Amino acid sequence: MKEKKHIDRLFQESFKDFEVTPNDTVWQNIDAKLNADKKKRRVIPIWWRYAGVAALLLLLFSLGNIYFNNDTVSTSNQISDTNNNPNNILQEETNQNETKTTTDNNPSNSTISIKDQENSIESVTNQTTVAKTTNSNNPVSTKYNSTSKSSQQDSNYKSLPLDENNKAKPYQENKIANVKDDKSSPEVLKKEDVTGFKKKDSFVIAKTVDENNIPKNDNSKETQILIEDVIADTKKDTQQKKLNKWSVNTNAAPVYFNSLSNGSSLGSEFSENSKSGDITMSYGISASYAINNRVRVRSGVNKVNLGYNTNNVLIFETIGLNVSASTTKNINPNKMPGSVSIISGKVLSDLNNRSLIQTANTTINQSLGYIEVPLEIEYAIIDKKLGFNVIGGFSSLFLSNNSLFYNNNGERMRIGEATNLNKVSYSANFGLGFNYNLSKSLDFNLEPVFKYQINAFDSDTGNFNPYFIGIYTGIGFKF
Amino acid sequence: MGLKQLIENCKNNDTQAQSELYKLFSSKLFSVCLKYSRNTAEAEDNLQDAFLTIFEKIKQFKHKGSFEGWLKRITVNTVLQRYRKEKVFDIITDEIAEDNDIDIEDNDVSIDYLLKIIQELPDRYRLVFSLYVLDGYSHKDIAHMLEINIGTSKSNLARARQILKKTIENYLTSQSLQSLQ
Repeated sequence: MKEKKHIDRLFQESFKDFEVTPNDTVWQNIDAKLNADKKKRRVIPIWWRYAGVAALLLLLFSLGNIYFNNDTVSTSNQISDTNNNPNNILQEETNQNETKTTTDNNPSNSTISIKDQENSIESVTNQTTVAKTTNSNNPVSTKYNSTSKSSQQDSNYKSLPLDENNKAKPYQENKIANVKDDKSSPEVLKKEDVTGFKKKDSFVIAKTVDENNIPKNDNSKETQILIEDVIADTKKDTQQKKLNKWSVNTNAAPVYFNSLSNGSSLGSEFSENSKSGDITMSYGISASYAINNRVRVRSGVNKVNLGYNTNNVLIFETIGLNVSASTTKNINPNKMPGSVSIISGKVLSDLNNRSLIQTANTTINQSLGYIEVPLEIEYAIIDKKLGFNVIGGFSSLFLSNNSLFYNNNGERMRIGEATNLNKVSYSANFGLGFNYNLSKSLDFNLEPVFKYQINAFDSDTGNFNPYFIGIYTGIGFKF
Repeated sequence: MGLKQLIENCKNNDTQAQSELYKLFSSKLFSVCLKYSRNTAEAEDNLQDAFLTIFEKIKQFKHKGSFEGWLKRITVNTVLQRYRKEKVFDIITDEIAEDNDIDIEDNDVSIDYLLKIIQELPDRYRLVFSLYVLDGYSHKDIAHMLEINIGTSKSNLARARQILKKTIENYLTSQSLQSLQ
């Protein structure tokens, strides 16, 4: 029987219990996509991409390490340059060159120079002290001067600036010769002392040879592997996305180093002395990866130089004296033939003994160099043409330069190195970042960053909480 | 395992639970897709997209209201997203007859046939008709969901009814002619 029916009702009644089982392939597709998603979105972004970041950083680090290792040679040149006597400078420079070229004449030294250029640091510093002995105006090393007087009697030494073949003779040999001639001198250096020193020194040299050669080979291998990794990674990355996720930044900054507390890095006995931080330079390169629009993870390599002055100290040399009880337990004067003692001028003035020693105006300058590897997160608060970020993170600091100098009325000499510095330390970083987009891929950055050092000094260093502040500026390239 | 536990396991991306959930709801949701899609192949595509969205967004489900209703909403939205951009040039708006009754006998038309003629409607007409007639949405809701105004929704529905009525009538006539021969 035909009946009138509203079209809506016809459909509603028909579709009331309408259910159709979909084809099995639908679930197979869903399942495949879910699994692909799990792999793509979870494994690749966190593990794989971060591994890419880490690989790039390691590459930068190893390149930086090689670069900065070479750089220390020039630093040691600086040390010799600080000597005020122009004759000495000339002498030193020629000596340094001669050591390299005439090594064949010196069997005792040849292995050192051939093996690694770096060892010239050793010879340079040795020669610095040789040069120093001719400086009779030196108010501090009075005892040492007498040695140099006697050494002037030695024809071998006298001819040193003139005779090119002899110039390269290692310091230790001269010293032995000196001692032989010095028998009549009132301040006799005991022969055992000198030979003992020689042994020790050559041992140190041999050690540095080993240390410098082995890691370098490793680095080059590592670098090769890493370059391959990074190339592979970047290829994948460029295929996957066209966003400016990566960026490479160069930066340079004036850095101010100081302590939050009153203590001294030299030792607790210097806590009362007046101290001042130096403004030095830091420079480096970093790479960052954008996790999203707001958050970037970055790391890199920076060379940081830090300087810190402890004023009003007294420094004197104690050759042949047992100074183990002296106050300078944190200083290793290993580049000097004798021992150096440093005491706070405060101590003496307290004892009303000031008249004893005339050199109260001396400042100890502690010069530190680090290779800094930061790992920081940038959070963008304003993400416009002129952007504003907050930056937080930490750095690993690898000690690359550790020197103590004394400054006295413009005179500057290296007296040794601090023994209470840790080779690896850390810093907690906090900063603000301003960046200005010069173009689509170029950024100008200005970042004042505060870095609080952790574990920089041994725990027994008297209450010294170092920090440094840098105003980092640089150009970033996004790709 | 209760539905609630199943949902929780799906939130943790448990593959077994996802498969279980699919088995429970795929038929219901596929019927939704069929009513809103142009053909079975596109309906399958839409079902797939809908489930991917469901598994992605299931973490947001807070056990308030019916889970099945939530699933249906996601499915409908997925399909709408695909078709609502299609423009319908609605030229004939004033010639619509108000007679929506049809002379028909029970079992005259199969559900497969009805589904087929719904799917053959222009996209917008199909969406409005299915939303209003089969799933009970108001013109106000439809206007909101399809980003059109209420008047357009009403006229689209009227056009859809007209097309469907005419199609069924033609079909019935041809059927009876065939039976006479």
